[in-house]
Amino acid sequence: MTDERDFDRIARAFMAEGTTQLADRVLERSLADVHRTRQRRALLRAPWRTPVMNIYGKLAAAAVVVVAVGALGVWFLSPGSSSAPVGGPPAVSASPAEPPEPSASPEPSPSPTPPPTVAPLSGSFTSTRHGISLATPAEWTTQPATETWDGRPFPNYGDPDVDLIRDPVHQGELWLMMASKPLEAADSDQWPADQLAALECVPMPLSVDGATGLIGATFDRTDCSAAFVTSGGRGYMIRLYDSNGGYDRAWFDRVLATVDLRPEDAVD
Amino acid sequence: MERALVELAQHGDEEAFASLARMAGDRLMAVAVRILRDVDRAEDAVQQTIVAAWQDLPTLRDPDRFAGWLYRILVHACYAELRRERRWTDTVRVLPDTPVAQDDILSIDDRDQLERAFRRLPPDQRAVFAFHHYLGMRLPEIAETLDIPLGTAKSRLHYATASLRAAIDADARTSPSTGERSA
Repeated sequence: MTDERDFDRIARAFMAEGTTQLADRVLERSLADVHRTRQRRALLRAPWRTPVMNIYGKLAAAAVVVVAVGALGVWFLSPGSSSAPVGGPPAVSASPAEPPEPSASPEPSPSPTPPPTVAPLSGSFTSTRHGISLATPAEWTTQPATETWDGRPFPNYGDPDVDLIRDPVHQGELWLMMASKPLEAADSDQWPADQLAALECVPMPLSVDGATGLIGATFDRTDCSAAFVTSGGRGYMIRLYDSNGGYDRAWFDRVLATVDLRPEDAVD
Repeated sequence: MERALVELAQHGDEEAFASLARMAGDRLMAVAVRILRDVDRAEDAVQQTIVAAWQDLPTLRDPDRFAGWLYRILVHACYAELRRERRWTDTVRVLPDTPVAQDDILSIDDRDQLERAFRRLPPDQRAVFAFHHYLGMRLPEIAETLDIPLGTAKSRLHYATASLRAAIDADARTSPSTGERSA
């Protein structure tokens, strides 16, 4: 087993490999593009730090915020409001607010990828290997497992021993993963706890298709957004990976509510 | 000096921007190569970054944050390159001949395993891993640079590290020669 210090040295050596110089032709080409590209004008460039405000200014600002929040609340709660997308919370952009993705290059540039939109669960997937079926977004693509899962709690994206269901656009950034294995000598109550302990995630009880287990409580950590349950002598892992944060625990709960565990159908 | 150049460039001074691009070019290229593992794609990502930075520079609020802001644009350009790669080809492109550090830390087997495992990491994990192990940034700095929560940065690094460690350990189990790594 590689210890931590050893791994850090190996990782640094691995990262040290490769070029560290930008070719002059690339720089010159880039600057030629710059010359042909107009700058976006900042419509309103707010100062980085808020200027000191007197008490009346603060009161006025607070009043504006209260009125705005109230108006937003009334609008949001009104029966005609259509702000909430089907199936979950509003989508979160994959891009940071400040620097938009590169857009206007005179040379062919990649078409901009839309941010993830929380998709409704209108499709389904049945695993031929792991004995589980569940509802999925219909447009997501599937990559069924072709090997037996060895039980590691954090398989890689694309590993052959897990079922993978991924967003067709964001792929490695947004996916569901399922796997199961016989518990053998492991205790069915202890197994979910051991999986989450290996990931250093705080466990929280849950039930999936009548089977009890645990889910990571700190759902903002992508390695903790996984449920581990046991049923019929098998341990199941169901994982959501969303590095952009648009798919939350509520959405994952809706997925879990559709899960049908069929340990008798699993193939080892 | 950089701040003065940024302020000039924000007001449309192309010469000032060219100086900034020359100062940052090598750094951007080094990071892009480490994320993308492909020199041609890294050059494309850097070119897109430079043009996008010029376009959007007037919207940068704090000129002192130019370096981090530039890294953030670069990372998103790398994400776009990786998405384009996945759409157009399934083949794995190997890094062309580049200077390879020859030392006893990284065996050939380790290197191959790491290369394969790294290419399978999601783009966001690659970026955090490169920022940490190449640029030597700590997690709070990475989180601030990439504009992501600290927990997310921590999670991405944890996940990437676990994947790469598993690859090395799997190799060590199958190849006795790699098990001789000194502690």
